[in-house]
Amino acid sequence: MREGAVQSPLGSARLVCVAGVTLSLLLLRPPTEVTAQFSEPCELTCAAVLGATGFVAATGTAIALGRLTGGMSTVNQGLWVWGGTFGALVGGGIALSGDGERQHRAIYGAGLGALAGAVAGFTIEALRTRGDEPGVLSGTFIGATTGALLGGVYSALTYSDSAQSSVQLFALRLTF
Amino acid sequence: MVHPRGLRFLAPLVACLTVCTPQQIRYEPVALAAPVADPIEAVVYLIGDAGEVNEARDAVLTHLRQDIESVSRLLASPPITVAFLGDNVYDQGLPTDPTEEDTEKLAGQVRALGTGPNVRGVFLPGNHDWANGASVLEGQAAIARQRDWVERVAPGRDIRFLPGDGCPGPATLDVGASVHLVLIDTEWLLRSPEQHCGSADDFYARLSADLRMNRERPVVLLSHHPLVSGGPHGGNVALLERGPFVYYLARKAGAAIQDLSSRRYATMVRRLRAAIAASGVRPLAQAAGHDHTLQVIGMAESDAPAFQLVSGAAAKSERSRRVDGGRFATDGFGYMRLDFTPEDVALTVFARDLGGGEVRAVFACLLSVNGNFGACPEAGLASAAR
Repeated sequence: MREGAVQSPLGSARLVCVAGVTLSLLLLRPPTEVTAQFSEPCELTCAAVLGATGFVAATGTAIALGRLTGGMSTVNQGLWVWGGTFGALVGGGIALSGDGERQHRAIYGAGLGALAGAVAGFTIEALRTRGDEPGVLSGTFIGATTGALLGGVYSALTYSDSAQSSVQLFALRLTF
Repeated sequence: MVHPRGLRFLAPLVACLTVCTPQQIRYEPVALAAPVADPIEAVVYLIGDAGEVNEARDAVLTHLRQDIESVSRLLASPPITVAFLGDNVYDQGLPTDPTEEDTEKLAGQVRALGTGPNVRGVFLPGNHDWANGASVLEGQAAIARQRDWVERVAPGRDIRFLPGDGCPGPATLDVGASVHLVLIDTEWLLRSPEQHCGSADDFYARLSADLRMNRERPVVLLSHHPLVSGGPHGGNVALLERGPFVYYLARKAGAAIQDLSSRRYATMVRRLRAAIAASGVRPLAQAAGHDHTLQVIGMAESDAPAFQLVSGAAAKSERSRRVDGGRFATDGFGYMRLDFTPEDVALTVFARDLGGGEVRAVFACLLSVNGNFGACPEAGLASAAR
């Protein structure tokens, strides 16, 4: 480590190692079928997943904006971005409440997408930046945000009453 | 006796204490280094982030004034420069119609200079002096107001605000014949607005040229922002310490421009180091504030100054974790002094404990531009920190 470098409590080498193992497991493990659905009714679970996904995606948006613009100047600037994004995402989820099954599916897809995106973002940034802590953290959140948006929108748009579909997510095949 | 189920509640508490509290490396105070044998040719004081009136600042500034007077008296009046390293007025710089409370933030610092004719004061701009996040034009207007106030407050005294035009500089000052100070407005570099100041490329070229012209004597770079730091701006932030959880995450992820991990800050550091490398001249030190700590850090690479001195603890205190090359760090309030002789540069760190008490010398060593760190070893860790 060069002089003047702040010592990371996680350790760059450890982050790279974790990323390498994660990537290997994701790519080499044979697909496993998972039938993952919310129990009915899904009120509390859906609300919790929507809130958690909204938090992660709003944080990721604020971080992405900060990283892309070179850095936010004030705390308020970040909080406005965060609050706006959180409100839009949670509002979007609530707006689907007239179509219960589609709403559940969209929330479910957003949650899974966030999880998958976080893993992908973490892995890519840990390997690309060789374990740079801010890079890995921002990669994880930006990946989660991208995954949440893609997963939520995809799940909402492809919902069908009759057809059952599945999504391959790394080593998992998730049946809707 | 604690019921085993009760231990379940202790686990998150212990976890929170480790994550919620920023780290502070603890060193034993170091006995003062032997006095330098050669005559002192110049003295430079480094004090930063003094723009808030409080009891700790009063103690630090009082000690500074007394030390300046004793140096003037005992050492045959060498030329003395006191560098105020930015954030001279919290929170938004000097307003258009400053109140007495606003001007007292500056006046207290000016008073600390004393009355000696051999004492020069120089104020540098920090991000708060730039109106802290306001537009470039508003920031530059705030800089102009502070410059005008500082340079008019004591007619006949050598008190300056540099760079005082809201541009990056570099401005230069010589202290006696043997020390060259290069003053940089790093807030401008972080923002790099396209306007009359010219481009950042021009600045870095001017910096390289100035370093080349002064290769025969010790050069100290002065700016508000440090190149490395183990303080909060260097990533030593704690969960829920300063606000919502999302704030912690955003700072950890490099989303705040004032943190070393942000893209603009990292670019500025990279380009400053490239300018040093291009000049072929290694500055003795880069002195800065910004993080409200006192840190002495050795930097081994040839494209960096030999030492990073973070002296931003005149009025506020924050914690700093251990940084590679670290020689000393404290979360006490204080300032630093550099004594230049023909052969050596002696550094002394003065600090007051967080809980109060007297300001006293807590670390001293000799600095060498040649990368010989033997004369400035790392202080011993306090027993509780081992």
